Amino acid sequence: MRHFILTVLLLIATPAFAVTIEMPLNNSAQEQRARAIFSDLKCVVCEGQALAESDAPLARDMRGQIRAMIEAGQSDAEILAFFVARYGKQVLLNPPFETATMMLWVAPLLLLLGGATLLIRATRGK
Amino acid sequence: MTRFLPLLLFFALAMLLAFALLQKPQHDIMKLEGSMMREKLPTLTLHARDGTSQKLALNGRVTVINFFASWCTACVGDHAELLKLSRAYPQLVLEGIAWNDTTSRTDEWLAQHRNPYTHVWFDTKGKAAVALGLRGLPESYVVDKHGVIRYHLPGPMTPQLRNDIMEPLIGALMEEP
Repeated sequence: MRHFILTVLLLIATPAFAVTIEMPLNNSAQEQRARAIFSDLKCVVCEGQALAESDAPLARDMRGQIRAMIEAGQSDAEILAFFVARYGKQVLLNPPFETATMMLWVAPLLLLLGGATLLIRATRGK
Repeated sequence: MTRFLPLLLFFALAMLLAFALLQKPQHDIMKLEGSMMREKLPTLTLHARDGTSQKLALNGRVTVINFFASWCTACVGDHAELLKLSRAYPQLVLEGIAWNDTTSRTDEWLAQHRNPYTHVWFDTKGKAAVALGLRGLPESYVVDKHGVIRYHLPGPMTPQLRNDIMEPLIGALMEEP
């Protein structure tokens, strides 16, 4: 029984997100917007972590900047554009769907189809 | 024949990557490209040693903005090159921005490694860092007489970078009207 409980606890354990130990904005609607934006951006000094999850000092600075911009009344689009202008499109967790970034979305699909084709061919040959 | 396909694909990919890696980087000093380059330097609000908030003023002079910290090991080499650069161009304005560090540790470090900076600033909340798209330390920005960023160096200045890019660039920018 103890093992069962421990296993369940381990399975439902979630990472402790960095945002919880920073000063949130007073306005909860604004803080919700901030957190949504934190999940839309990458931490630029980490390996594949969202801005929401990183403890890195630069990530803290970036989150501080986002909160300040929300309080100053800037829109989500303006905030994202601010970071793209400084860090490039790769700062967005979900690259926009346009001609320049089309391959990012399509390439995995193409590779999957290509691999599946080769696999089918190989198994049929037997 | 199709059994050679994976091998051929691998070979083609290897050739493509080798070609890309062996490209010699071309520097036309006046046409360098990169993030933040050719952009007007954004207004930077920095903290002076006494804690007061001030906006960085360029006053129409060629400036190198250098982010550093006492805990940054790569900054030691970068700093040595910065010293050499300042000796080569005494008219060059060097703005040092200590990022994520304390005044006392910064002062200690500068006493140990020498201080070539015209001013030392403290980017306490990292606003200047984010405003300039900083990715790490050390990081430097060369700004011309019109407040336009002409070079963004993410990483330490090596002797080669100083010789091949920084010195020629600063020389050229000083000649510019």
